[in-house]
Amino acid sequence: MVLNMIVVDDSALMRLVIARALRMLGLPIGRIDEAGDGVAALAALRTRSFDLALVDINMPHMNGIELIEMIGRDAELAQLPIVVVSTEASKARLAGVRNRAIRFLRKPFDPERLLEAVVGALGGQP
Amino acid sequence: MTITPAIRAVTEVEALRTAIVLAMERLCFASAEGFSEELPSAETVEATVAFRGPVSGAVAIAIPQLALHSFVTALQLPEIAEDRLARADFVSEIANIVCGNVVPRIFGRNSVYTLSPPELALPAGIPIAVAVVHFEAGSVAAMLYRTD
Repeated sequence: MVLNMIVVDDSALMRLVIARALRMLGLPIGRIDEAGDGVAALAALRTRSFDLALVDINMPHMNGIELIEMIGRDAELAQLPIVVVSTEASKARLAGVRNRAIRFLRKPFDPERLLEAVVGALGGQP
Repeated sequence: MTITPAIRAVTEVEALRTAIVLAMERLCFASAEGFSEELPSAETVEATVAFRGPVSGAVAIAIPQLALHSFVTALQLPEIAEDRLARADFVSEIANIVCGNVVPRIFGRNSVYTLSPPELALPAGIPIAVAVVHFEAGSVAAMLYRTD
């Protein structure tokens, strides 16, 4: 089994950095798609199957909080594990988001923290 | 407890320094070699992230062109090494990371702050704190502004 993931961040550079870091974790990773904002991410999530979403908060058009709320309201997506990859300032904003499977990874992150967050969001079963 | 302006200034500079060091270490494997408060004299690329909450302001980052090229090259992402947009993206992301980490540290972790998307310009006004971190490839400057 391979894990298909989507990295949602308005920074193309960060998407590449996160995707590269994911590939180096030693997990059975298959496809890593990218989206530059919540709107593009939601469209991708509704057309392809993913095992995990890594989501930034501070994005234009639809930010990460709005995206997570939309995912939570969508019966097809509600159980999708999510790792929020954002700065400390975003953590307080997440307090209002009711979602069961959110892990928080603070930028800048090191690979060990990324692995913990990904494995944790996947329920400890990569 | 009353915090004197002098002590606050030191704290703000230290918070900016720490955030730059962490961001540069983890993003492009650069190790800090020293600190100062003297802004780079060479032409720089700048990005600003504004924040709103109990306190409002902005954090700006300025990186000299030559250093920026080296930092982006150090990312070892061949697809973006020569891309000018990637360099602007790099400065913007450093501004986002530094702002997102220093604001709770300086102004309180329990408050909610909204960060604006980065803009490639310096804000108007005079910064209340300036921190410059020197790396082998060049320096990274961070400036904290209050607008409230």
